[in-house]
Amino acid sequence: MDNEYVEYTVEGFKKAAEALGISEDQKEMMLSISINSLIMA
Amino acid sequence: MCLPTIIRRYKLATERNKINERLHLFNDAIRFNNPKRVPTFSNLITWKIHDTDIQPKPTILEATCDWELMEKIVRESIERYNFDAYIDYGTRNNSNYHKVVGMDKMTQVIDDTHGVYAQEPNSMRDSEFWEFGEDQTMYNWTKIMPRRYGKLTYAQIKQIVDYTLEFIDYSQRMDEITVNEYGIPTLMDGNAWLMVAVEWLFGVYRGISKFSLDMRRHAKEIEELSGIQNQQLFAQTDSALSLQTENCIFDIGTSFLAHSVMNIKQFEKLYWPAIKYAIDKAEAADKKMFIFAEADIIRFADFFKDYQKGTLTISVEMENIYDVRKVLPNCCLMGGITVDMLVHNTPAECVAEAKKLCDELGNNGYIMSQNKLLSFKNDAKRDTLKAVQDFVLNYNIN
Repeated sequence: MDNEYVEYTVEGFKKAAEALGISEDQKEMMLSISINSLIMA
Repeated sequence: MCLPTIIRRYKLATERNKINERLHLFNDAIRFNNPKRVPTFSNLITWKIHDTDIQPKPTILEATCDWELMEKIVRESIERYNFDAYIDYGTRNNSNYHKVVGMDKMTQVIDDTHGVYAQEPNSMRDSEFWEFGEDQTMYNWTKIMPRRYGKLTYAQIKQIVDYTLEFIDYSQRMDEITVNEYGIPTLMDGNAWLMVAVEWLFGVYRGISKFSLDMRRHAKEIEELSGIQNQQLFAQTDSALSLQTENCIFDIGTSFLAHSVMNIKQFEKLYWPAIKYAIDKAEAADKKMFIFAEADIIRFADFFKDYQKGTLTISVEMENIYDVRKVLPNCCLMGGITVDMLVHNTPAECVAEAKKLCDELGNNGYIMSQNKLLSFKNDAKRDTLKAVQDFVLNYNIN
């Protein structure tokens, strides 16, 4: 799965968050913070 | 009690005294309450990497990708200049992302010849203001990500998140180190920093040229977007002003940049409602608000001139600080030490100007700082900056 491309859809966001190796309740929040940080960096 | 514990407790008590002393100075300056001396504020960002004595000399890119290295650079800078507070602890740029998406896709591009420069953003289409307003994260994911970065794998997304987590760890560590080891107060709580909708358009999604045209071609859409986003800012303001922030200088703050391309009517419509709400609330609650204003402020002075002393502090970038003092006698001003002076004048000339600033403004709401964020190698010289700092720290005005 690591080498598959993410999908830039609402479902794709959830799937990308789910694949992160961090605690369950922080996954979507951390992906959101990371994407917003990347865009501003 | 063992000796190391006694030493540790002594050090903590010393730093607690230092932070209280600095908070007292800032409070007296902001409240026009005759501070013992003028408090000093550092606007040093990537310039401190140029200024380091660490060998081999790190490049900007190396330092903004390596948090252990950045911590050493920041500690060295704090110990050299000893400012009372800081805008940045090496967290202005997280360049690690370039390893995933490529430097040419970054908003803040690192160029080791010149430093850091911002690329004009160009990812938002004309018809998308609403999508950004409705759900910013999903808008970024579904529209901005594919346009700007193209296809990314799950492993690359995971790497981006890991770089973010490392960066957050570093930021939190530096917040603790600066408070507990150096007795430096924090500017404000991170949740108390407001960003109005038009600043997102100006700085992140549309860029200066498109946003300037947007205010004419899409005035109604932007006004409606601002109205919706303002509801979130009102809630954020209420929340920020209820925080207990014992180590913070200010209770709430914002940065002004998009105002630089606005006329007064545009500012009044698109910018002022959220800011007015925050200032009114801060004034009513006897709280302190900071406006980090880049570019100019004098032509907007009428908006701020009737607030009571002690509420507002405004930074002064491009205008003469004595001229700003005349039109805003009720606001604490931050600035005065210009980059031109630090680069072109001698240390003695810089100290003479610093003395004049202390004598003329020191008792009337004044915090000394450099007039802009010091980024590039030629934004300052060590000897002039240090001469000013050493003078002000030892110059009692009351």
